[in-house]
Amino acid sequence: MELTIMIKKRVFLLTLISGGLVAALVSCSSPTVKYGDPTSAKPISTDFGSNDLQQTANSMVNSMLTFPPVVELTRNRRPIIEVSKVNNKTMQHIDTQSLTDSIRTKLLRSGKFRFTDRSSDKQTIEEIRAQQESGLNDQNTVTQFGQQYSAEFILVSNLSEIKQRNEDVIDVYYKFTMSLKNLKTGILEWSDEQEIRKIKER
Amino acid sequence: MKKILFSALSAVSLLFVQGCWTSVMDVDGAADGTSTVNFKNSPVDIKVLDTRSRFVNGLLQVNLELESGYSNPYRLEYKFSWYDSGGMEVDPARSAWIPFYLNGRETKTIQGLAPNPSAKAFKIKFREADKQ
Repeated sequence: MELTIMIKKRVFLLTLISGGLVAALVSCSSPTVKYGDPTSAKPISTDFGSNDLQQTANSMVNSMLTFPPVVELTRNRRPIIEVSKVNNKTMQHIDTQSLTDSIRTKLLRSGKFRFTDRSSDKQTIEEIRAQQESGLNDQNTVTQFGQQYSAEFILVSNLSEIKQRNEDVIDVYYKFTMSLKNLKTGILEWSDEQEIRKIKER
Repeated sequence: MKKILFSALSAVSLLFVQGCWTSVMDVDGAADGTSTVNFKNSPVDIKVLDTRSRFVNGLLQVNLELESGYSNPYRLEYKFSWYDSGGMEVDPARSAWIPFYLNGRETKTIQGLAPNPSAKAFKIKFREADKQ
């Protein structure tokens, strides 16, 4: 009788521990679809990823906003900047527009700069033309052509990559360089680089 | 023998459960440079040697000097959050986790800049990169 109770107790304990283990395994390993953290830094490959984009945008904006001549430039006014396309010298297809959009958004939200946007010129022209020609708008409130402000500065940038590999290791080095150029004088007022190195080991 | 089996099973269960959890250490700070380290029981093994802050063109800039508690290379991630004078988070969910690498017992400085002039206080979260 006592032996039966002891065996039952042990079986119960074993079942409990095994159950816990299975639950832990299932919770960790079962395939699921879930929302991830868009700010996660976990690299999945050596390709230029979302966190590389965020790091680069962050680094460039912090550098530019704390550079003493730029601090002086923005102390009492908000200069107007145009952002040019990134010169992508890597072998990858990278949405560089997304990178410059992030940089522009951060700079704009700092309250230190204003921006022009050449990429929406077509829509702007269509809208002004519609206001002037459709006959729907009060002519006193219609926007006239030739009133827009011009950019004083342009942000130019390059993204390059050096890739090295052997049987066991893929080593990719990225360098993003950005400069702020005065359109009137042609002088580079600020420039900085962000380096990222990603290593994949077998 | 049975005790060993129970212990082994329990240890494996704990390992799997712990593998799924993320624990962070954070540092709260104010514009005057004062700071507090929270969650000291976090597995993140770094010392905050110095915290400094200042305003650059109206933007709060923070400088943290850290020392690794490990004698081996250590991969960590950090993330800044910024708060206005009323304690509301400024531009929440915009800042990204930034990976950083410390050699054994190395001292390194990290810097952050507030996204706009309304930020008057900050929080920095740290977590171990390999646990993500």
